[in-house]
Amino acid sequence: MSNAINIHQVTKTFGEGGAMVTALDKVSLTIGEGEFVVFLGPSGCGKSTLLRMIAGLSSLTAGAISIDGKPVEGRNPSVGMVFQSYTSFPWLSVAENIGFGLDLAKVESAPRDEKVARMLDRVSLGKFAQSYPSQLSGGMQQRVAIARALAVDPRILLMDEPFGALDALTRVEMQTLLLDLCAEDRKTVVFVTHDIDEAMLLADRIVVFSPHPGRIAEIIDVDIPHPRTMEQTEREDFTHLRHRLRQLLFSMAKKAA
Amino acid sequence: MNALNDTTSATGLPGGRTVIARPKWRRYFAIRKPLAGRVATSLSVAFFLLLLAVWILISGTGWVSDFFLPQPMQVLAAAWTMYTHDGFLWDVAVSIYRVLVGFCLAAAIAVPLGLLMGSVQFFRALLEPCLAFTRYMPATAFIPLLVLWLGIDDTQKFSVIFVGTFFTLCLMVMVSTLSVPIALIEAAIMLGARPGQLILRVILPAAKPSIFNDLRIVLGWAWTYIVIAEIVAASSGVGYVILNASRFMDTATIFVGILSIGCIGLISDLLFNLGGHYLFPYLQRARS
Repeated sequence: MSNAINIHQVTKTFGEGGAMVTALDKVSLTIGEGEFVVFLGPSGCGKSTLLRMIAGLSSLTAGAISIDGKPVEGRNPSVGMVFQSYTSFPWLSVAENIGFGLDLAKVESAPRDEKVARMLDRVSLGKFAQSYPSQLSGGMQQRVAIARALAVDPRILLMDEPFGALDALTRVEMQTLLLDLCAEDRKTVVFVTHDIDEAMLLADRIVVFSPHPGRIAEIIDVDIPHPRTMEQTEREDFTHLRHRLRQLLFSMAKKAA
Repeated sequence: MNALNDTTSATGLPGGRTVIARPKWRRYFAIRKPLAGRVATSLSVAFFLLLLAVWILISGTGWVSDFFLPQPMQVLAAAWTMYTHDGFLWDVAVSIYRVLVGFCLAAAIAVPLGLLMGSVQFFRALLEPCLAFTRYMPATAFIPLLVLWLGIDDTQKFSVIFVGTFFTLCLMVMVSTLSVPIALIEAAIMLGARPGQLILRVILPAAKPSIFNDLRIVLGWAWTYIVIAEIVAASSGVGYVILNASRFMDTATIFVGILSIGCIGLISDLLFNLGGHYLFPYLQRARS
Protein backbone atom coordinates (compact mmCIF):
# COMPACT_ATOMS: atom_id res chain seq x y z
CA MET A 1 0.00 0.00 0.00
CA SER A 2 1.56 3.28 -1.09
CA ASN A 3 1.34 6.41 0.99
CA ALA A 4 -1.29 8.96 0.04
CA ILE A 5 -0.80 11.48 2.86
CA ASN A 6 2.36 12.12 4.83
CA ILE A 7 2.16 14.21 7.99
CA HIS A 8 5.53 15.03 9.50
CA GLN A 9 6.10 16.80 12.84
CA VAL A 10 3.17 19.14 12.29
CA THR A 11 2.64 21.90 14.84
CA LYS A 12 -0.11 24.51 14.86
CA THR A 13 -0.41 27.40 17.27
CA PHE A 14 -3.03 30.12 17.49
CA GLY A 15 -2.43 33.57 18.98
CA GLU A 16 0.79 35.04 20.29
CA GLY A 17 2.71 35.52 23.53
CA GLY A 18 0.83 34.67 26.72
CA ALA A 19 -2.41 34.00 24.84
CA MET A 20 -0.74 31.43 22.56
CA VAL A 21 -2.56 28.11 22.29
CA THR A 22 -0.89 25.02 20.86
CA ALA A 23 -3.59 23.20 18.90
CA LEU A 24 -1.26 20.50 17.56
CA ASP A 25 2.15 19.54 18.87
CA LYS A 26 4.59 17.70 16.55
CA VAL A 27 2.10 15.26 15.10
CA SER A 28 3.38 12.67 12.63
CA LEU A 29 1.22 10.18 10.72
CA THR A 30 1.20 8.32 7.44
CA ILE A 31 -2.07 7.48 5.67
CA GLY A 32 -2.02 4.81 2.98
CA GLU A 33 -3.73 4.85 -0.42
CA GLY A 34 -7.30 3.54 -0.11
CA GLU A 35 -7.23 3.56 3.68
CA PHE A 36 -10.17 4.73 5.82
CA VAL A 37 -8.68 6.60 8.77
CA VAL A 38 -10.79 8.09 11.54
CA PHE A 39 -9.50 10.91 13.75
CA LEU A 40 -11.20 10.39 17.12
CA GLY A 41 -10.91 12.65 20.13
CA PRO A 42 -12.60 15.14 22.42
CA SER A 43 -13.17 18.70 21.28
CA GLY A 44 -10.06 20.86 21.35
CA CYS A 45 -7.70 18.02 20.44
CA GLY A 46 -6.81 19.53 17.07
CA LYS A 47 -8.32 16.77 14.91
CA SER A 48 -10.33 19.19 12.77
CA THR A 49 -7.38 21.57 12.58
CA LEU A 50 -5.20 18.80 11.17
CA LEU A 51 -7.90 17.89 8.65
CA ARG A 52 -8.12 21.52 7.51
CA MET A 53 -4.36 21.61 7.08
CA ILE A 54 -4.46 18.47 4.91
CA ALA A 55 -7.17 20.22 2.87
CA GLY A 56 -4.95 23.27 2.43
CA LEU A 57 -7.52 25.54 4.12
CA SER A 58 -5.31 26.24 7.12
CA SER A 59 -1.60 26.97 7.30
CA LEU A 60 1.02 25.04 9.28
CA THR A 61 3.06 26.68 12.04
CA ALA A 62 5.82 24.07 11.69
CA GLY A 63 6.34 20.71 10.04
CA ALA A 64 5.21 19.43 6.67
CA ILE A 65 2.27 17.70 5.03
CA SER A 66 2.57 16.11 1.63
CA ILE A 67 0.04 14.43 -0.63
CA ASP A 68 1.47 11.95 -3.14
CA GLY A 69 4.91 13.26 -2.24
CA LYS A 70 4.05 16.89 -3.04
CA PRO A 71 3.84 19.44 -0.20
CA VAL A 72 0.35 20.83 0.40
CA GLU A 73 -0.08 24.36 -0.98
CA GLY A 74 -3.70 25.38 -1.03
CA ARG A 75 -6.36 23.18 -2.51
CA ASN A 76 -5.26 19.96 -4.20
CA PRO A 77 -7.50 18.75 -7.07
CA SER A 78 -7.31 15.16 -5.83
CA VAL A 79 -8.78 16.13 -2.45
CA GLY A 80 -12.52 16.57 -1.77
CA MET A 81 -14.12 17.68 1.46
CA VAL A 82 -17.43 17.38 3.32
CA PHE A 83 -18.09 19.80 6.19
CA GLN A 84 -20.08 19.53 9.39
CA SER A 85 -22.27 22.55 8.67
CA TYR A 86 -24.64 22.40 5.72
CA THR A 87 -22.78 23.93 2.81
CA SER A 88 -25.19 23.33 -0.06
CA PHE A 89 -25.57 26.50 -2.11
CA PRO A 90 -29.12 27.63 -1.31
CA TRP A 91 -29.70 29.34 -4.69
CA LEU A 92 -28.92 26.18 -6.67
CA SER A 93 -31.07 23.08 -7.06
CA VAL A 94 -29.79 19.73 -5.77
CA ALA A 95 -28.66 18.75 -9.28
CA GLU A 96 -26.93 22.10 -9.82
CA ASN A 97 -25.19 21.77 -6.46
CA ILE A 98 -23.84 18.36 -7.40
CA GLY A 99 -22.69 19.67 -10.78
CA PHE A 100 -21.05 22.78 -9.28
CA GLY A 101 -17.47 21.44 -9.27
CA LEU A 102 -17.87 20.11 -12.81
CA ASP A 103 -19.19 23.50 -13.95
CA LEU A 104 -16.21 25.29 -12.38
CA ALA A 105 -13.91 22.98 -14.34
CA LYS A 106 -15.98 23.69 -17.50
CA VAL A 107 -16.79 20.03 -18.14
CA GLU A 108 -18.89 19.63 -21.31
CA SER A 109 -22.61 19.34 -20.73
CA ALA A 110 -23.14 15.71 -21.86
CA PRO A 111 -20.58 14.08 -19.54
CA ARG A 112 -21.52 16.57 -16.82
CA ASP A 113 -25.22 15.69 -16.90
CA GLU A 114 -24.41 12.00 -17.00
CA LYS A 115 -22.13 12.33 -13.98
CA VAL A 116 -24.73 14.36 -12.03
CA ALA A 117 -27.43 11.78 -12.80
CA ARG A 118 -25.15 8.97 -11.61
CA MET A 119 -24.29 10.80 -8.38
CA LEU A 120 -27.97 11.60 -7.73
CA ASP A 121 -28.70 7.92 -8.11
CA ARG A 122 -25.84 6.82 -5.85
CA VAL A 123 -27.06 9.00 -2.97
CA SER A 124 -30.74 8.21 -3.75
CA LEU A 125 -31.76 11.81 -4.38
CA GLY A 126 -33.10 11.31 -7.92
CA LYS A 127 -36.57 12.48 -6.94
CA PHE A 128 -35.16 15.67 -5.42
CA ALA A 129 -32.96 16.74 -8.35
CA GLN A 130 -34.90 19.97 -8.89
CA SER A 131 -35.52 20.75 -5.19
CA TYR A 132 -33.71 23.52 -3.37
CA PRO A 133 -31.54 22.63 -0.34
CA SER A 134 -33.92 24.53 1.99
CA GLN A 135 -36.57 21.94 1.14
CA LEU A 136 -34.38 19.04 2.27
CA SER A 137 -33.79 17.44 5.66
CA GLY A 138 -30.33 17.57 7.28
CA GLY A 139 -29.49 14.04 6.18
CA MET A 140 -30.45 14.78 2.59
CA GLN A 141 -28.37 17.97 2.62
CA GLN A 142 -25.32 15.99 3.70
CA ARG A 143 -25.99 13.50 0.91
CA VAL A 144 -25.91 16.42 -1.50
CA ALA A 145 -22.60 17.51 0.04
CA ILE A 146 -21.11 14.02 -0.34
CA ALA A 147 -22.36 13.66 -3.92
CA ARG A 148 -21.03 17.12 -4.77
CA ALA A 149 -17.59 16.29 -3.35
CA LEU A 150 -17.45 12.91 -5.13
CA ALA A 151 -18.69 14.27 -8.48
CA VAL A 152 -15.26 15.74 -9.29
CA ASP A 153 -13.63 12.34 -8.63
CA PRO A 154 -11.20 13.12 -5.81
CA ARG A 155 -8.93 10.26 -4.74
CA ILE A 156 -8.90 11.53 -1.18
CA LEU A 157 -12.04 12.47 0.72
CA LEU A 158 -11.81 14.54 3.90
CA MET A 159 -14.84 14.53 6.17
CA ASP A 160 -15.09 16.92 9.12
CA GLU A 161 -17.76 15.52 11.48
CA PRO A 162 -20.17 15.32 8.54
CA PHE A 163 -22.91 13.54 10.50
CA GLY A 164 -22.41 15.45 13.76
CA ALA A 165 -25.56 17.53 13.42
CA LEU A 166 -27.83 14.63 12.43
CA ASP A 167 -30.19 12.62 14.64
CA ALA A 168 -29.09 9.12 15.70
CA LEU A 169 -31.17 7.19 13.16
CA THR A 170 -30.23 9.36 10.21
CA ARG A 171 -26.61 9.16 11.28
CA VAL A 172 -26.61 5.33 11.05
CA GLU A 173 -28.32 5.57 7.67
CA MET A 174 -25.62 7.96 6.45
CA GLN A 175 -22.79 5.80 7.82
CA THR A 176 -24.19 2.81 5.94
CA LEU A 177 -24.47 4.90 2.79
CA LEU A 178 -20.86 6.00 3.17
CA LEU A 179 -19.71 2.40 3.60
CA ASP A 180 -21.62 1.42 0.45
CA LEU A 181 -20.09 4.28 -1.51
CA CYS A 182 -16.62 3.29 -0.37
CA ALA A 183 -17.26 -0.35 -1.25
CA GLU A 184 -18.20 0.63 -4.81
CA ASP A 185 -15.30 2.98 -5.32
CA ARG A 186 -12.31 2.80 -3.02
CA LYS A 187 -11.10 6.20 -1.79
CA THR A 188 -8.63 7.32 0.77
CA VAL A 189 -10.87 8.75 3.50
CA VAL A 190 -9.92 10.82 6.53
CA PHE A 191 -12.95 11.16 8.78
CA VAL A 192 -13.11 13.31 11.92
CA THR A 193 -15.55 12.43 14.71
CA HIS A 194 -16.01 12.27 18.46
CA ASP A 195 -18.48 9.37 18.18
CA ILE A 196 -16.87 6.05 19.21
CA ASP A 197 -19.42 3.82 17.44
CA GLU A 198 -19.10 5.82 14.26
CA ALA A 199 -15.31 5.47 14.39
CA MET A 200 -15.48 1.69 14.90
CA LEU A 201 -18.00 1.10 12.15
CA LEU A 202 -16.11 3.07 9.52
CA ALA A 203 -12.40 2.91 10.24
CA ASP A 204 -9.57 0.73 9.06
CA ARG A 205 -7.52 2.63 11.57
CA ILE A 206 -8.57 4.87 14.44
CA VAL A 207 -6.18 7.66 15.39
CA VAL A 208 -7.04 8.77 18.92
CA PHE A 209 -6.10 12.37 19.74
CA SER A 210 -5.54 13.84 23.19
CA PRO A 211 -6.09 17.54 23.88
CA HIS A 212 -4.05 20.46 25.27
CA PRO A 213 -1.83 20.29 23.30
CA GLY A 214 -3.23 18.13 20.51
CA ARG A 215 -1.23 14.96 20.17
CA ILE A 216 -1.77 11.43 18.90
CA ALA A 217 -2.50 9.32 21.98
CA GLU A 218 -2.89 5.96 20.27
CA ILE A 219 -3.41 4.38 16.87
CA ILE A 220 -5.72 1.37 16.79
CA ASP A 221 -6.20 -0.98 13.84
CA VAL A 222 -9.75 -2.21 13.35
CA ASP A 223 -9.28 -5.73 11.93
CA ILE A 224 -12.79 -6.38 10.75
CA PRO A 225 -13.27 -7.15 7.08
CA HIS A 226 -15.42 -5.01 4.79
CA PRO A 227 -18.24 -4.81 3.96
CA ARG A 228 -19.25 -3.99 7.50
CA THR A 229 -22.73 -3.66 8.92
CA MET A 230 -24.19 -2.18 12.03
CA GLU A 231 -24.87 -5.70 13.40
CA GLN A 232 -21.18 -6.54 13.46
CA THR A 233 -20.50 -3.77 15.93
CA GLU A 234 -22.50 -5.75 18.50
CA ARG A 235 -19.92 -8.60 18.38
CA GLU A 236 -17.55 -9.32 21.20
CA ASP A 237 -14.33 -7.95 19.64
CA PHE A 238 -16.18 -4.70 19.01
CA THR A 239 -17.37 -4.60 22.60
CA HIS A 240 -13.75 -4.85 23.77
CA LEU A 241 -12.68 -2.10 21.41
CA ARG A 242 -15.55 0.14 22.47
CA HIS A 243 -14.64 -0.35 26.10
CA ARG A 244 -11.01 0.52 25.43
CA LEU A 245 -11.80 3.64 23.44
CA ARG A 246 -14.21 4.84 26.09
CA GLN A 247 -11.61 4.45 28.80
CA LEU A 248 -9.07 6.26 26.68
CA LEU A 249 -11.37 9.22 26.02
CA PHE A 250 -12.69 9.42 29.58
CA SER A 251 -9.20 9.36 31.09
CA MET A 252 -8.35 12.34 28.88
CA ALA A 253 -11.46 14.16 30.03
CA LYS A 254 -10.49 13.53 33.64
CA LYS A 255 -6.98 14.80 33.06
CA ALA A 256 -8.29 17.94 31.37
CA ALA A 257 -10.71 18.68 34.23
CA MET B 1 -66.63 20.78 42.66
CA ASN B 2 -63.81 19.30 40.68
CA ALA B 3 -66.15 17.74 38.18
CA LEU B 4 -67.82 21.08 37.72
CA ASN B 5 -64.53 22.80 37.08
CA ASP B 6 -63.59 20.24 34.44
CA THR B 7 -66.63 21.00 32.37
CA THR B 8 -66.52 24.77 32.58
CA SER B 9 -63.09 26.37 32.57
CA ALA B 10 -60.76 23.46 31.81
CA THR B 11 -60.51 20.83 29.11
CA GLY B 12 -59.89 17.25 30.16
CA LEU B 13 -57.00 15.43 28.47
CA PRO B 14 -56.28 11.70 28.53
CA GLY B 15 -54.02 10.86 31.43
CA GLY B 16 -55.87 13.12 33.82
CA ARG B 17 -53.98 16.29 32.82
CA THR B 18 -55.96 19.45 32.30
CA VAL B 19 -55.25 22.56 30.27
CA ILE B 20 -56.74 25.85 31.34
CA ALA B 21 -58.29 27.52 28.31
CA ARG B 22 -56.67 30.89 27.52
CA PRO B 23 -58.74 33.85 26.39
CA LYS B 24 -58.97 33.97 22.59
CA TRP B 25 -57.70 37.52 22.11
CA ARG B 26 -54.31 36.52 23.45
CA ARG B 27 -53.33 34.67 20.32
CA TYR B 28 -53.38 37.97 18.40
CA PHE B 29 -50.48 39.12 20.55
CA ALA B 30 -48.45 35.88 20.66
CA ILE B 31 -44.72 36.46 20.24
CA ARG B 32 -43.29 35.38 16.88
CA LYS B 33 -46.44 33.53 15.89
CA PRO B 34 -47.84 34.15 12.41
CA LEU B 35 -51.27 35.75 12.01
CA ALA B 36 -53.76 34.55 9.43
CA GLY B 37 -53.35 36.50 6.17
CA ARG B 38 -56.84 37.97 6.38
CA VAL B 39 -56.29 39.21 9.93
CA ALA B 40 -52.95 40.80 9.02
CA THR B 41 -54.43 42.60 5.99
CA SER B 42 -57.43 43.82 7.98
CA LEU B 43 -55.10 45.24 10.63
CA SER B 44 -53.03 47.10 8.02
CA VAL B 45 -56.12 48.59 6.36
CA ALA B 46 -57.73 49.39 9.70
CA PHE B 47 -54.79 51.51 10.77
CA PHE B 48 -54.88 53.54 7.54
CA LEU B 49 -58.58 54.10 8.07
CA LEU B 50 -57.98 55.10 11.69
CA LEU B 51 -55.47 57.74 10.60
CA LEU B 52 -57.92 59.02 8.01
CA ALA B 53 -60.67 59.19 10.64
CA VAL B 54 -58.44 61.18 12.99
CA TRP B 55 -57.59 63.52 10.14
CA ILE B 56 -61.27 64.03 9.27
CA LEU B 57 -62.10 64.58 12.92
CA ILE B 58 -59.41 67.19 13.49
CA SER B 59 -59.89 69.13 10.26
CA GLY B 60 -63.68 68.68 9.96
CA THR B 61 -64.60 69.85 13.44
CA GLY B 62 -62.62 73.03 13.00
CA TRP B 63 -60.18 72.29 15.78
CA VAL B 64 -57.47 73.28 13.42
CA SER B 65 -58.03 75.78 10.64
CA ASP B 66 -57.96 74.26 7.14
CA PHE B 67 -55.31 76.82 6.36
CA PHE B 68 -52.89 74.67 8.39
CA LEU B 69 -54.52 71.28 7.95
CA PRO B 70 -56.70 70.93 4.84
CA GLN B 71 -59.60 68.53 4.88
CA PRO B 72 -59.23 65.20 3.04
CA MET B 73 -61.74 66.30 0.41
CA GLN B 74 -59.77 69.51 -0.24
CA VAL B 75 -56.62 67.46 -0.73
CA LEU B 76 -58.46 65.11 -3.05
CA ALA B 77 -59.79 68.05 -5.04
CA ALA B 78 -56.33 69.58 -5.21
CA ALA B 79 -54.92 66.25 -6.37
CA TRP B 80 -57.54 66.05 -9.13
CA THR B 81 -56.70 69.52 -10.49
CA MET B 82 -52.97 68.97 -10.16
CA TYR B 83 -52.94 65.64 -11.94
CA THR B 84 -55.48 66.52 -14.63
CA HIS B 85 -54.86 70.25 -15.29
CA ASP B 86 -51.53 71.39 -13.87
CA GLY B 87 -49.39 68.61 -15.27
CA PHE B 88 -48.25 67.39 -11.85
CA LEU B 89 -47.75 63.94 -13.32
CA TRP B 90 -44.93 65.45 -15.34
CA ASP B 91 -43.28 66.76 -12.15
CA VAL B 92 -43.64 63.33 -10.56
CA ALA B 93 -42.09 61.77 -13.66
CA VAL B 94 -39.21 64.24 -13.57
CA SER B 95 -38.53 63.44 -9.90
CA ILE B 96 -38.71 59.69 -10.51
CA TYR B 97 -36.32 60.09 -13.42
CA ARG B 98 -33.83 62.06 -11.28
CA VAL B 99 -34.06 59.59 -8.40
CA LEU B 100 -33.59 56.61 -10.69
CA VAL B 101 -30.58 58.06 -12.53
CA GLY B 102 -28.84 59.23 -9.34
CA PHE B 103 -29.62 56.04 -7.48
CA CYS B 104 -28.63 53.70 -10.33
CA LEU B 105 -25.32 55.53 -10.70
CA ALA B 106 -24.66 55.12 -6.98
CA ALA B 107 -25.72 51.46 -7.01
CA ALA B 108 -23.71 50.66 -10.13
CA ILE B 109 -20.52 51.66 -8.33
CA ALA B 110 -21.43 50.88 -4.71
CA VAL B 111 -22.51 47.27 -5.26
CA PRO B 112 -19.33 46.04 -6.98
CA LEU B 113 -17.18 48.06 -4.60
CA GLY B 114 -18.99 46.80 -1.49
CA LEU B 115 -18.77 43.25 -2.82
CA LEU B 116 -15.04 43.64 -3.33
CA MET B 117 -14.57 45.18 0.13
CA GLY B 118 -16.51 42.35 1.74
CA SER B 119 -14.54 39.72 -0.16
CA VAL B 120 -10.95 40.98 -0.23
CA GLN B 121 -9.51 42.39 3.00
CA PHE B 122 -7.13 44.60 0.97
CA PHE B 123 -9.93 46.75 -0.41
CA ARG B 124 -11.69 46.89 2.94
CA ALA B 125 -8.60 48.22 4.70
CA LEU B 126 -8.05 50.67 1.85
CA LEU B 127 -11.55 52.14 1.64
CA GLU B 128 -13.63 51.48 4.73
CA PRO B 129 -12.28 54.24 7.02
CA CYS B 130 -12.58 56.82 4.25
CA LEU B 131 -16.15 55.76 3.42
CA ALA B 132 -17.17 55.69 7.06
CA PHE B 133 -15.85 59.23 7.41
CA THR B 134 -17.59 60.57 4.30
CA ARG B 135 -20.82 58.85 5.30
CA TYR B 136 -21.18 61.15 8.30
CA MET B 137 -20.87 64.30 6.24
CA PRO B 138 -24.50 65.28 5.64
CA ALA B 139 -25.42 65.08 1.98
CA THR B 140 -27.68 68.09 2.36
CA ALA B 141 -24.72 70.24 3.39
CA PHE B 142 -23.15 69.47 0.02
CA ILE B 143 -26.04 71.03 -1.88
CA PRO B 144 -24.73 74.63 -1.88
CA LEU B 145 -21.36 73.33 -2.98
CA LEU B 146 -22.88 71.17 -5.71
CA VAL B 147 -24.96 74.13 -6.95
CA LEU B 148 -21.74 76.14 -7.14
CA TRP B 149 -19.90 73.41 -9.03
CA LEU B 150 -22.64 71.99 -11.22
CA GLY B 151 -25.31 74.69 -11.47
CA ILE B 152 -28.98 73.89 -10.96
CA ASP B 153 -29.68 71.46 -13.78
CA ASP B 154 -30.25 67.72 -13.48
CA THR B 155 -26.57 66.93 -12.92
CA GLN B 156 -26.83 68.66 -9.56
CA LYS B 157 -29.90 66.57 -8.64
CA PHE B 158 -28.18 63.34 -9.62
CA SER B 159 -25.11 64.22 -7.61
CA VAL B 160 -27.09 65.11 -4.46
CA ILE B 161 -28.72 61.67 -4.60
CA PHE B 162 -25.38 60.07 -5.36
CA VAL B 163 -23.68 61.76 -2.40
CA GLY B 164 -26.62 60.89 -0.16
CA THR B 165 -26.75 57.21 -1.00
CA PHE B 166 -23.42 56.01 -2.35
CA PHE B 167 -21.27 55.89 0.79
CA THR B 168 -23.78 54.18 3.03
CA LEU B 169 -24.82 51.78 0.29
CA CYS B 170 -21.18 50.77 -0.15
CA LEU B 171 -20.85 49.94 3.54
CA MET B 172 -24.20 48.15 3.66
CA VAL B 173 -23.27 45.95 0.70
CA MET B 174 -19.93 45.23 2.37
CA VAL B 175 -21.66 44.10 5.57
CA SER B 176 -24.09 41.95 3.58
CA THR B 177 -21.16 40.38 1.76
CA LEU B 178 -19.31 39.72 5.01
CA SER B 179 -22.30 37.80 6.35
CA VAL B 180 -21.87 35.06 3.71
CA PRO B 181 -20.85 31.99 5.77
CA ILE B 182 -17.16 31.12 5.42
CA ALA B 183 -18.18 27.44 5.16
CA LEU B 184 -19.86 28.10 1.79
CA ILE B 185 -16.69 29.75 0.53
CA GLU B 186 -14.46 26.94 1.76
CA ALA B 187 -16.75 24.32 0.24
CA ALA B 188 -16.40 26.09 -3.11
CA ILE B 189 -12.61 26.31 -2.72
CA MET B 190 -12.50 22.55 -2.16
CA LEU B 191 -14.49 22.09 -5.37
CA GLY B 192 -11.83 24.03 -7.26
CA ALA B 193 -13.19 27.59 -7.35
CA ARG B 194 -10.57 30.22 -8.17
CA PRO B 195 -10.80 33.71 -6.56
CA GLY B 196 -12.79 35.26 -9.42
CA GLN B 197 -15.20 32.33 -9.46
CA LEU B 198 -15.54 32.54 -5.67
CA ILE B 199 -16.68 36.16 -5.87
CA LEU B 200 -18.99 35.83 -8.87
CA ARG B 201 -20.40 32.34 -8.40
CA VAL B 202 -20.51 31.95 -4.62
CA ILE B 203 -20.22 35.22 -2.67
CA LEU B 204 -22.38 37.34 -5.00
CA PRO B 205 -25.26 34.88 -5.31
CA ALA B 206 -25.12 34.13 -1.57
CA ALA B 207 -25.22 37.84 -0.64
CA LYS B 208 -27.69 38.86 -3.37
CA PRO B 209 -30.91 38.69 -1.31
CA SER B 210 -29.54 40.96 1.40
CA ILE B 211 -27.90 43.32 -1.14
CA PHE B 212 -31.30 43.52 -2.81
CA ASN B 213 -32.80 44.53 0.53
CA ASP B 214 -30.05 47.16 1.03
CA LEU B 215 -31.02 48.69 -2.32
CA ARG B 216 -34.69 48.74 -1.33
CA ILE B 217 -33.96 50.61 1.89
CA VAL B 218 -31.53 53.12 0.40
CA LEU B 219 -33.86 53.92 -2.52
CA GLY B 220 -36.26 55.26 0.11
CA TRP B 221 -33.62 57.74 1.29
CA ALA B 222 -33.06 58.94 -2.26
CA TRP B 223 -36.60 60.41 -2.16
CA THR B 224 -35.70 62.57 0.82
CA TYR B 225 -32.66 63.92 -0.98
CA ILE B 226 -34.42 64.65 -4.26
CA VAL B 227 -37.09 66.73 -2.55
CA ILE B 228 -34.46 68.73 -0.71
CA ALA B 229 -32.44 69.20 -3.89
CA GLU B 230 -35.54 70.36 -5.75
CA ILE B 231 -36.61 72.70 -2.96
CA VAL B 232 -33.22 74.39 -3.05
CA ALA B 233 -32.94 74.89 -6.77
CA ALA B 234 -35.22 73.60 -9.49
CA SER B 235 -37.90 74.57 -11.97
CA SER B 236 -39.69 71.24 -11.99
CA GLY B 237 -40.24 68.17 -9.85
CA VAL B 238 -42.25 67.32 -6.77
CA GLY B 239 -39.96 69.32 -4.46
CA TYR B 240 -40.33 72.40 -6.65
CA VAL B 241 -44.12 72.10 -6.61
CA ILE B 242 -44.08 71.77 -2.82
CA LEU B 243 -41.88 74.85 -2.44
CA ASN B 244 -44.07 76.89 -4.80
CA ALA B 245 -47.21 75.85 -2.95
CA SER B 246 -45.71 76.96 0.34
CA ARG B 247 -45.07 80.40 -1.15
CA PHE B 248 -48.80 80.69 -1.84
CA MET B 249 -49.66 79.01 1.48
CA ASP B 250 -51.44 76.30 -0.48
CA THR B 251 -51.30 73.50 2.12
CA ALA B 252 -53.51 71.14 0.12
CA THR B 253 -50.96 71.08 -2.70
CA ILE B 254 -48.15 70.43 -0.24
CA PHE B 255 -50.15 67.49 1.10
CA VAL B 256 -50.66 66.11 -2.40
CA GLY B 257 -46.92 66.31 -3.02
CA ILE B 258 -46.01 64.54 0.20
CA LEU B 259 -48.68 61.86 -0.15
CA SER B 260 -47.68 61.25 -3.77
CA ILE B 261 -44.14 60.50 -2.67
CA GLY B 262 -45.50 58.16 -0.01
CA CYS B 263 -47.47 56.31 -2.70
CA ILE B 264 -44.42 56.09 -4.96
CA GLY B 265 -42.45 54.62 -2.05
CA LEU B 266 -45.17 52.07 -1.40
CA ILE B 267 -45.23 51.09 -5.08
CA SER B 268 -41.44 50.81 -5.27
CA ASP B 269 -41.44 48.58 -2.19
CA LEU B 270 -44.11 46.43 -3.81
CA LEU B 271 -42.04 46.16 -6.99
CA PHE B 272 -38.98 45.19 -4.97
CA ASN B 273 -40.97 42.50 -3.17
CA LEU B 274 -42.28 41.12 -6.45
CA GLY B 275 -38.76 41.22 -7.86
CA GLY B 276 -37.49 39.37 -4.79
CA HIS B 277 -40.05 36.61 -5.24
CA TYR B 278 -39.05 36.28 -8.87
CA LEU B 279 -35.26 36.46 -8.33
CA PHE B 280 -35.01 34.33 -5.19
CA PRO B 281 -37.59 31.55 -5.49
CA TYR B 282 -35.52 29.36 -3.16
CA LEU B 283 -36.20 31.71 -0.23
CA GLN B 284 -39.95 31.06 -0.38
CA ARG B 285 -39.81 27.31 -0.63
CA ALA B 286 -38.45 26.61 2.82
CA ARG B 287 -39.18 23.20 4.32
CA SER B 288 -42.01 23.36 6.81
